Amino acid sequence: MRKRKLVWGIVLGIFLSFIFVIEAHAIPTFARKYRTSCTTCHIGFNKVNAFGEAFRLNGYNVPEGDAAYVKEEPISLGAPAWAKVWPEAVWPGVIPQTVPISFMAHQRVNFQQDDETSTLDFNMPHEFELLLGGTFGDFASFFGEYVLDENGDVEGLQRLFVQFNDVFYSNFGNFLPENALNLKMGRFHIAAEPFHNPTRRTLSSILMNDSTVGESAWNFRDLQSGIEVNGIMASRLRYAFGIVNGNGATLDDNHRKDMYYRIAYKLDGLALDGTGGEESGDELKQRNNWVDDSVTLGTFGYLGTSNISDADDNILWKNNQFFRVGGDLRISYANMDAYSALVYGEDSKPLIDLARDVKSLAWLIGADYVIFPWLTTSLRYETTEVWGGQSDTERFISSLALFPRANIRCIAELIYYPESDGNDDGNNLLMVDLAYLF
Amino acid sequence: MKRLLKSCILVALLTLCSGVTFAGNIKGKIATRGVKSPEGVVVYIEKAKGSFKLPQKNPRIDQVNLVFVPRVLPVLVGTTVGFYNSDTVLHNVFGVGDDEFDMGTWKGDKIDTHTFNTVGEVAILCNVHPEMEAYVVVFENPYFGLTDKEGNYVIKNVPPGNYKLKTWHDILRSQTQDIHVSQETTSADFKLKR
Ligand SMILES: [Cu+2]
Repeated sequence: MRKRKLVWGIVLGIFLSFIFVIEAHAIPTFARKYRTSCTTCHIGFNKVNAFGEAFRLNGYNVPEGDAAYVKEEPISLGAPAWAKVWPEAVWPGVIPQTVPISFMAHQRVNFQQDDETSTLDFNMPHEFELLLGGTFGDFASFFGEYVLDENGDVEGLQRLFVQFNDVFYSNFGNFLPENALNLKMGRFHIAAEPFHNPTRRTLSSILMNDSTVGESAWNFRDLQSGIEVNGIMASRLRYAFGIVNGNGATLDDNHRKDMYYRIAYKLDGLALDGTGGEESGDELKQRNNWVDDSVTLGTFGYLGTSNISDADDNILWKNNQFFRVGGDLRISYANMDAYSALVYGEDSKPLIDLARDVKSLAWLIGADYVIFPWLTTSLRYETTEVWGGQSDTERFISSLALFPRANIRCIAELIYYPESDGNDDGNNLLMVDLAYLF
Repeated sequence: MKRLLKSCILVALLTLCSGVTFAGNIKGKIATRGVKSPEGVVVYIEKAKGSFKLPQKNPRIDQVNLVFVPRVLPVLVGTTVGFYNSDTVLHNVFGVGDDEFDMGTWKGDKIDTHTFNTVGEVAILCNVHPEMEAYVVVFENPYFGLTDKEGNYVIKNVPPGNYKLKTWHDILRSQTQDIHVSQETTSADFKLKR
C-alpha cells in the first residue's frame, strides 16, 4: 500500500513539476556525412524535429538540394553528365564515401514492482544494434537496422528498405510534381502506424502500436515486408499507401495481401517537403530548431488477414479478417508538442475458443516538452479496450530525458498501471536507460 | 595654337575611345541553393545583333589531377578549344550533347583541338575516369560571363539596348531577366535553385 502511494507520489510530482511547461531517425552516419550534430534533426534522439521529419520523408535527403550540405563527398559512379551517354553507358550514380554504419547501445536499470523473481534488474546491455543509412544521391536512399543483442538474444535483421525518390519527377520524365511519388520496398515500419515508433520520445513503445486482439498476432508496430508508395502533395499533404505480407515475415502465411494507408495534412510550421521555413541559406540550423508552431491532422487505416494459432503454434484458422481505422492530431506550439490518436478496429475471428467478431478501441493523449535542448519531458495516457473483455489496458507514462551530449541520452521513465478496473494490466515499472550512439 | 592642338588631340582621342566606351558592362552576383558553390554559372544575353570576332587565342581545357580545368567553359560559336593533358596518366576526351566527338586516349604533350560549331551544351567526359566532367557551353554571341567562387560575373562591352539575360548551369534551373543596357554598368543579380 505504501509502495503504491510512493509511485503515485512520483507520478504526481513529475506531472506537477511540468504542468506549467507543457511540450518522430537521423543516425551518426548522417552526422558524419553532413558534419553536423544530431540536434540538426533531433530534439534529442530519437524524436525528430520538423526538419528531421522533412529529411526522413524526403528519403534522407536535405530538402531543396542535399548536395550543398554534404561534407563527406560521395564516391562517384560516373559524373552526372554520363546521363547524356545513356543508353551507351550505365546511368551515373553515387555511393557513400565511408561504410554507412552506426551503432547504438542501451544500458538499462529496471525496477519492477511486484515482480516474482526480481524487482531490480541491471539490464546491461539492454540492447546493442547496428544502424545503417545513406543515399545513392537524391535518387534513392536506404536504411537498415540489425540488432546484435537484445537482452541476450541476437534479434538479427530488423528494418531493411530502399526508397526510390521522385520516381516520375526526375527519373522517368517529369510526369508528376516533385516529391509526389516515392517507392519504398523492403521491410519497414508501415506508414499506417499511429506513431512512427523509432522516433518516439519515450522508452516505452506506443501502446496502440503494440496492442493485439485475441490470438491474432498482428499489431501496428511489427515490421512488414512489402511495397509502399508515398509522397507529398502541395508541400503539406502527405500520403502513403502500402501492400504488405502482413505477418511480419518475408513469406506470407495466407493468400491475401494486407493493405494500409495514411493521409496527413500539416497546417503552418515547416512544410512536410521542407519548404516554408525560415531562410537559412545553406546552413543547417541548430538553435531553437525544435520550435515548429503547427497543427497536423491525420487519418490512417489497415486492412488485413491473420492466422489464429494455439499455444503450440498450430494454426487453427487462417482467415481472421480485420481492419483498423483511426485518426490523429498533433499540435506543436513553442516548446510543447501535444498529440492524440484514436484507433477503432474489428476482427472477424480473433478468438481461439469461439468464432465471433471482436471490436476494439484504443486512444492516447500525450505531450512532450523541451525544457532545455538537453532536457525534455514527456507525459502520456494511453488505453486499449477489446470488447469481449479479454484485455483492457490503461497506463500512464512519465518520462524525463537528459542529454549530456547530443549522442548520449539518459531517460528515467515510469510506467504506471492504475488498475482501476480490477484487472492486472502489468507491473508498474521504473526504467533508467542510458543510450549512446556512435 | 598649342591649345587648339591640344583640343584637337582630345577630341580625336574621345572619338577613338567612344568606339569602345559606347558599350556597357553587365555585372552581378549569383546566389545559389542546393549546390556547394555559386561558381560555374554562365550568365548570357540570349540574342544580340551583329557579327562577332572569334577570340584571338584559343581557349583551352586542361586535365590536372584527374580534373578538367576549367570545369565550365563558355565560348562563342565557331571557337576552337584546345585540350591538354598535364597528368602523367592516360586520359581520354569525348564530347556528348549538342556536339559529339571523340579525341581518343593519350598522354604527354599532344594538344588536340575541337571547333564548336553548334550552339548548345556539350559535356566533356573521359572514358578512363568516369568521375571527370566538364562543360563547353556554346553561345551565339560573345556576351557572356562566368561566375567566380563568390558568384560574381561580368559581361563586358555589351552594345546598349534591351535584352533577355539568361543563366546556364549544369544542375540549377535557368532563369531569365529583362535588362536594359546603357553605357554605364548595369547590374543584375540572380537567385538560382535546383
Ligand atoms: Cu581521364
